[in-house]
Amino acid sequence: MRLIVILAALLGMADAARTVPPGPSSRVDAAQPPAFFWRSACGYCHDREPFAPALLGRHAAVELTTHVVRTGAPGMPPFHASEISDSELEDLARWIAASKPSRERQ
Amino acid sequence: MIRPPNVTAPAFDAFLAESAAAVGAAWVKIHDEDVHPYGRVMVPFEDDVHMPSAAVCPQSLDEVRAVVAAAQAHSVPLWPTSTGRNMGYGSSAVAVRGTVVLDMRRMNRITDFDPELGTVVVEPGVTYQALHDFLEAGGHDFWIDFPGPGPLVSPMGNTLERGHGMTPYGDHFANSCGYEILLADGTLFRTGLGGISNTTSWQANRHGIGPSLDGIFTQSNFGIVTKMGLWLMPAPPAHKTVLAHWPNRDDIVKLVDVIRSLRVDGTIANEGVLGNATIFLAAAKRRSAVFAGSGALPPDLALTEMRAVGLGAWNYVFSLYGRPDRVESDWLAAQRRLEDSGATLIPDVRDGTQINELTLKSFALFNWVGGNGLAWFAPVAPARGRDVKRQFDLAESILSKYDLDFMTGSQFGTREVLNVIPLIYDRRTPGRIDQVRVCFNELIDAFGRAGYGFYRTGIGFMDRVAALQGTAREDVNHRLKRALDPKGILAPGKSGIW
Repeated sequence: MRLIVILAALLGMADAARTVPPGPSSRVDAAQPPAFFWRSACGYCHDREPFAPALLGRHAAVELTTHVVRTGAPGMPPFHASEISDSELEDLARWIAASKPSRERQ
Repeated sequence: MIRPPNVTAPAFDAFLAESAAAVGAAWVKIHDEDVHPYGRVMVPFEDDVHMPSAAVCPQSLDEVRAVVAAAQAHSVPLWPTSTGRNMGYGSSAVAVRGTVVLDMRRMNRITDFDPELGTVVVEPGVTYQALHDFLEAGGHDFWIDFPGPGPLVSPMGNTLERGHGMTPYGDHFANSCGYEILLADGTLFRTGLGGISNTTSWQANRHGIGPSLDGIFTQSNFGIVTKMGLWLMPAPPAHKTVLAHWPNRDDIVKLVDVIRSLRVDGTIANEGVLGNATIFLAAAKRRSAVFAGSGALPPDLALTEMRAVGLGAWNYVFSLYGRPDRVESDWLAAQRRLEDSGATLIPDVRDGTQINELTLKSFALFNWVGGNGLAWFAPVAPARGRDVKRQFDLAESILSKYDLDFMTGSQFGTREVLNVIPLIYDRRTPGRIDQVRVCFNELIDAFGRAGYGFYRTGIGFMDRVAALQGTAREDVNHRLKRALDPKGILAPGKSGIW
C-alpha cells in the first residue's frame, strides 16, 4: 500500500486520491480519470511483478487491456460497465499503454 | 439467448422492455459479451450451468422498484448483487440458470455519516475503497474492516454474506445496524429504529421493539437490501501485530485452546488468521516452483519450506489494539500464554488487513496453480482444539484423494473457528471441474455426518449444505419465503431457500 501511495504521488495522482468529497458522497455516473481506476483497482496487483503482470511501461495494447478488463483473466475478476464505462475503460487502456515503467517513477 | 425457466419469450421481452424504460436501454445487458462475464465462476461448475440471461443495472431505489415491479408482473427471477464479486462462492453468477442479475453497482452513494457515533449508511455499490477514501478525504479518524478482496468489493455485499475481516470489527454482520429493504411486492421498510418518523437512532440500535429482523435478510432471498448502516472502528492510538508459530502439525490442539482463551477473555480483540504451512507457502510461491510430483503437495514439503524462512506448521497472525499501555499489557499476557503453548513469537510484523490498509495480496493464492479455480469450503468448528484437529484431518484426508492441497486460513471468533479452506484448482485441466465438484460434495457430506455445519457456501452447493440443518428449519425458511416473496422472484435457490 505504501508503495502505491508513493507511486500515486509521483504520478500526480494526489488529486485523484481525493475524488470523494467530504460529507455523504456520490460518484453516480461521474466520469473518473484513469488514475482513479489505477489507484483503486488495477494498481493493487499490476503495479509490479511477481504478483501479477506489471503493466506500466509495457505499451500494452489498448484492445487487449479493454478485453481482459471486461472478461477477466485467471485470478482477475471481470469489471463491468456498471463500474467502469466503455469510455472510462478506453481512457484507462490508453493511459496504461502510454505509461512509463514503475521503476522509472520511483 | 438464455431465458429464465418457465418464462415465455413474450413475457421476458416485456420484462426487458419495462426494465429498459426504468433504467435506460444501455443498462439492460442482454448481449453475450456483456452477460457472460457475470456468469464467469471460479467454483467447480462450467460457466454455462449458472449463467444469467441478462443483467439490469439500476442507479436508484426508484429504478430498483420499477425493475422489481416488472419482474413481479412477468414472473422473472432476479439475482440481486452489490458489487457482485463473491469470488470462490459464485461471483455474480446465479443459482438457477437464466435468472436475471440485478447489478446495483451504480448505486454507490454514502448517504449518511455520523462522526460522533462513527456510523455510515451505504448503498449496495459502495466499495471498501470508496468508504476508505471518503473517511480519509474528510480526515475522519475511523478504520474500516474488510475481507480479502477489500478494495473491489462492497461492505453491503460482504455483510449480507456475513463475511469476516481482520480487525476487532471483523464480524461484519455484528457491526451493521439498520437496513432499508425492498420486498418483492414493492413494500419498502427499515429495520431497527429506522421506521420512526425523523428517526434519530437508526444506526445506534439494531433492534427496536419486536423481532430483530436484520438477520433474516442476510444469506437469504426474502428482500433486497438497498441501504445499510455500518459501525466504524475508532482508529486505535496504538496497535501491534504479532505472528505466532508452532513447529509441529500435532500442535494444533493446544494452540487452538490457548488462542480461544485469549479471545474469550478479550486479550486478543481481533479474529486474526491461522494458516497452515501450505497456505503461507501458496501466498509466496507458485506450486510448480516447489513440487513437480503427482498428487497433493506433501505436507512435510511445505513445512520444510516454511522452516527455511523461520515459520512453522501453524502460523497465527493477530493484533492488539488500544492505548499504548493496554497494548503492552495485552502483549505481555499473550506472549506468556502463547509461549507456554510452545509458540515462537515474531512481534511487530505487518499485515495491512489488520490495520486499515487496503490490499489485494490475498489474490496471490490464485497464482498457486493458476487456472482460476477456487471454491471456499467453510465449516464452523467449535473453538476446541480437538474439533479443529478433527476437521483438518477429515478435510485433508478427502482433499488428498482428489490431489488437492490442504490449506486453511482459519479465523477465530470467541467460541467458534471458521475454517476457511480453499480448494484451488486449474479449470483448464480436462475433467478437473467435475472432480473438484465431487470432492466438495464429499466434504459437505462427511462434515455433516461428523456433526458440523457451515458459515457460508456458494452456488451449486447451497441445497446440500442447507439440508444438513434439518427439514424443520428448511420448512421455516420456506414459509418465510412464501410470506414475503410468494412468486419466488428474488434469488431463487439462495442458501437453499426456494
